[in-house]
Amino acid sequence: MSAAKRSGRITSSDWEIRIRDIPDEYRERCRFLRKLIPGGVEYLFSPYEYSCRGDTLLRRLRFDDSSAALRLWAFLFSEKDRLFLAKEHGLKIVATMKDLGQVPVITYAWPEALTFYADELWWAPCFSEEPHLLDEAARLGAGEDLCYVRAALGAMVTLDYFPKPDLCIAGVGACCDDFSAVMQLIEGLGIKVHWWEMASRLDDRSWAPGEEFRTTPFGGMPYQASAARFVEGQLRGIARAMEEMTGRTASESDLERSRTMFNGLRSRIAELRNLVYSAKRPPMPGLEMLLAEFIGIHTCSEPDESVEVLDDLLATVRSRLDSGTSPFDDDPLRVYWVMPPTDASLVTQLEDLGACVTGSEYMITHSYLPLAPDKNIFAAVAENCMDDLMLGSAHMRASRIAAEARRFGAEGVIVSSIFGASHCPHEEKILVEVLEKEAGLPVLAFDVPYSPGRLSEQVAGRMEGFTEVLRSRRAPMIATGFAGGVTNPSGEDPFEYFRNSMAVESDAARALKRQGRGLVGIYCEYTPREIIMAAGAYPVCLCGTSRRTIAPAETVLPSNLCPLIKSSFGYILTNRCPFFQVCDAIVAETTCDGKKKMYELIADRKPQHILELTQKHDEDDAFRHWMSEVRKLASFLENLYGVEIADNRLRGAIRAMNRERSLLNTVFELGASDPPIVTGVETALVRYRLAGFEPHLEMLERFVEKVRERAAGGFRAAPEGAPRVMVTGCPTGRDTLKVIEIIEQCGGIVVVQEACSGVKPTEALTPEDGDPFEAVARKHFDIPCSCMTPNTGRLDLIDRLAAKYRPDAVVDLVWHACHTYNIESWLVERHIRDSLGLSYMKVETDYSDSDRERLAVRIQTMLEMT
Amino acid sequence: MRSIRVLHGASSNNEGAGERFMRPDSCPLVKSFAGAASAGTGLHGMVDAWVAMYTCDQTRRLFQALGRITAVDAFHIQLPSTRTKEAEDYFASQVERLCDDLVSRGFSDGYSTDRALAFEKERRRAASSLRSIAMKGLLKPSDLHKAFELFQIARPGWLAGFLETAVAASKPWQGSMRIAVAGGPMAAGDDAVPGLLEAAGVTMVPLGCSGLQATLPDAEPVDGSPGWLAREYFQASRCARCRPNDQVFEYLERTLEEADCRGLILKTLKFCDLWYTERERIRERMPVPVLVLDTSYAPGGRERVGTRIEAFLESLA
Repeated sequence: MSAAKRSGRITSSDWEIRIRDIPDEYRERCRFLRKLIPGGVEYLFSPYEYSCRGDTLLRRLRFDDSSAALRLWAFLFSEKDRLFLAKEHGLKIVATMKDLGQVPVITYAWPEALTFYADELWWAPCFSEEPHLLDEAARLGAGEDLCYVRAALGAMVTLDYFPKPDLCIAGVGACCDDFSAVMQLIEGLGIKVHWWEMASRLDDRSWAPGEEFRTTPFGGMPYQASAARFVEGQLRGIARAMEEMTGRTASESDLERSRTMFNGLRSRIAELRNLVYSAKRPPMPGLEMLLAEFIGIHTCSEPDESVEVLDDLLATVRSRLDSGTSPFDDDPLRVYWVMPPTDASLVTQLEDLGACVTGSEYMITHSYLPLAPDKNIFAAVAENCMDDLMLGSAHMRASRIAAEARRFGAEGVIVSSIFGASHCPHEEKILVEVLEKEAGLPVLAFDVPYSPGRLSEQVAGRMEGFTEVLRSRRAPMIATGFAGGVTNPSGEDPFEYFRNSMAVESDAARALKRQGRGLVGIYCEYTPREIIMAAGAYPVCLCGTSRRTIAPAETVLPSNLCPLIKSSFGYILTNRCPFFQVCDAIVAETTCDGKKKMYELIADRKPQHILELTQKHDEDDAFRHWMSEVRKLASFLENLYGVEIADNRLRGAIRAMNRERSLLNTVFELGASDPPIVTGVETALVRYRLAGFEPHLEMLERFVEKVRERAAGGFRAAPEGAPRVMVTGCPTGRDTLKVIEIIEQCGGIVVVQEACSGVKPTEALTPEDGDPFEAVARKHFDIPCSCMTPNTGRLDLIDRLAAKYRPDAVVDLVWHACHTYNIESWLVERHIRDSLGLSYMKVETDYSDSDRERLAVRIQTMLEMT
Repeated sequence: MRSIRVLHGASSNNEGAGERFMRPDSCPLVKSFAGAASAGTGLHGMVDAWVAMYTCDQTRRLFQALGRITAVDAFHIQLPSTRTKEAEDYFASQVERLCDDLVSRGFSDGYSTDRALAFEKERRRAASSLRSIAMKGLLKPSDLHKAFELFQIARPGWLAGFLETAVAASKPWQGSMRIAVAGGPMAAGDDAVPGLLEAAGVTMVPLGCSGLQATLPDAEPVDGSPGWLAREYFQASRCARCRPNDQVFEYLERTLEEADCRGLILKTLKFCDLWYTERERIRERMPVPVLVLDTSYAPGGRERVGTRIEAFLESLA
């Protein structure tokens, strides 16, 4: 945690306590309907208190800890009170739908009417965490096939969010069909509806060559003059409807006053967005910004108080910028958000993952632009309509989003669509394509599910994965020379390098693809990397080592399955694996049953070659079959890449891989030192995914140098007498070093890993003479994995390692549901105790951290007794 | 210059091809159009220019993205949803501008009011003939569906004569009862419902815009100017997208009575919010029982639809 100043993001319970410290004079300022009710009505209550009225989601959100933010939330959630009180006091209630910022500019010229956005009800089912509005709407024919705006229909029936409107102003034309359908059903309830039409904007002049095109003064949007004239007429129609309802014609000064007020709101929102989104550490969280932006279009049914609320927020933002305070850590991930998420907790989730909202396009960008002062109000609003990105093509919208995302330094974009909204299915592909190509930004697009009471696991998992991808993209690119000549930042610490190697590799993989190089995903050490490299491609290991992808995987795979398989599958299911995304093909080796069947589930995602491993190690027929499988893999790759894997190419690849294995062996052999000069964790972190990558090899050399230098300076990796431990069994990975960490935290030192993540695949090099195909096949066939039978080779390897690394104890790591290692552990234990006379402990666990404490007690005990 | 209404290519193959451009949860007709236009198959491949008329939001978005789908020129106009004089004027002005655009871009040597009037008269004669055939139930449902397909693309002068010949040559169809079909358009290829009704031995009375609605307006035209014609067609529209859409209900009620229909099948296209959300109100207001079918072009749905139609017809018997 940096020394940067922090404001906070707090819960509704926190506010329950803190609100007591808010001075009375501040509370006095927070009142609405002052002009209607003497003294106004107080509204500054805590989110928890508002949640007791039904919006229970407030209890799961995090709020900015400023009083300005509290005021914003309270102002929004007190709108209901305002509307009912206003009606009681004789004001007309006007519900406007779909226009996103135009109608209130006109209707607020009549102070005897109060206008609110019925569309806002689309948030209600998520905030209330129960579907009664949706159920009501379904009864009337507006079911799940429509977007959440159908809640407005439900609210028109229940009338528990607002009183029955005296007039509903419904915008159609260039608008979503689901909105249009809901509004028609609302009219069917007997509510008076004034229909008006928004003209479509043509973004390409060739679509109407005879049309006169102009450009909006503030948004720079080309539009048809005839469309604006038509909309101007429609807005005058709204004014006539207001006159009819109120019995009064608004004067020019009434209209001008309304325009001035809305321009004031718009300029405040524009300034707020600019200040917050341009900041390196945004001084205001995403949810508060979302609310603030929408105040600009609907004023929360009280324009005057809206101005006060926004001024308060702006003052807080300015003050934080001056003092360098922010609710975020140093350098949060910067994410641009497209389309307002109906589930506000998603924004909280994003921020909990270490990201911030650094820009937004909530379909209301035109509502931050000024209304031209030099035209009559109807013409000015009509012209502002033409800046509405939803009136034109998705491509234009996407380009504008890309430009703003770049301007605000976004690192990624989230597009939160709604199932049932008629525009989302059409726009999403275009948005993603343009954002990825034009802005070069990764995009996470999903439909926001209705998930009352909890965050959707699938969306949460995808957001986690997305933030990991963004993080991995932050590491500096290693420039050039994948196959030869490499530049590394000089002086880079090799320990840091390997800790961050995922980020480096993820960038490297993308760079490879951009250069037209091949990339092949593998899941096992039995897959001969030499064959892939001889085809001119790079092998990349896709084995999952994160527990976060397991929960999504368990929605498809059985939970009683090896965590490595679940994690690997979960990465693909949640589209989080940056390597899988860019691989040309996958090699699916038939080692264990679990993996074999998992491959079937991903067979349609990438070209896949099944590599059958025969498992009778001691039989010639088995080896011959394996050789033929290796040749088939070669043919597959030859077809895939249009190359011939001739013997000389394969020999070159063998030499390259042998060099790599030798370097890795040198690293592992550091563990043999006594006293120990390198920890098991440090060595375990050296393992990386992308083979044949020169920067890795340079860093391996540097790692060895550094460790030796360090040792020469007197460094010891463990206290004298620390028990030396060999870890055997299942492979570990970056996020699954739990057992190694515990051993070393308990005072032991892991001197060698016999597993596939250690020396097992590297100890033996591929013979460089003779038939290269046979050499490659034999080297790999001899890997002593528990899937082979009999697996005497493993015991031989353990013997060799025991002689070289002189462990005092052996810990046999078995992942849950790994039957082969689990059963084989009986033989291993017998061998280690009887033949080697060493302490032995079997640890059966998974990727979770829930058993850390228990394991620590057991391992501590074993080490003490060693 | 020949103009046709392309309501063709409704197939699951084209739908699937269209999903390159939009998500699967879009209107099947829109997806089929995208798929067929991108492949340039059938009528879609014969078009020199499109008049891209924005009716619902999904067609609007399809046409706004048309440049990604096909390189064929397109001229865009918006059919307003509201039923006011201003909306009518706006539509008429766009149609007038469209005619000028077609000339300026070389698709026509000039607009002739006389030619337009003559065409319109022929068209309405053919429409009248088709309407009479449909109301009298003279053709079996699949043939009637094809006749309406032809109405969209054939030269009207030829069509009137062809229809008379076709009816005279066909064995008269005697359906056991008359069933109206309303809702979204039934494109060429979307023939499951006509086929099933025919198999059940009933007469189909298609009320949608690919059926009897396409025969409106039906008054004798007196003016061939683009503005006049645009206003005629604007006023004749009876689509669920209209706002308000009371005229749709009036049209359905009146035509059901005129055609003496025993039941109404409301056949909507999946993800068409505009028709599907009206199903409860249609059920309440129609004087006959209503069966709602929400369909796509996937062949697998035919069995299910067939079972439902059978049960519906049994309930009416």
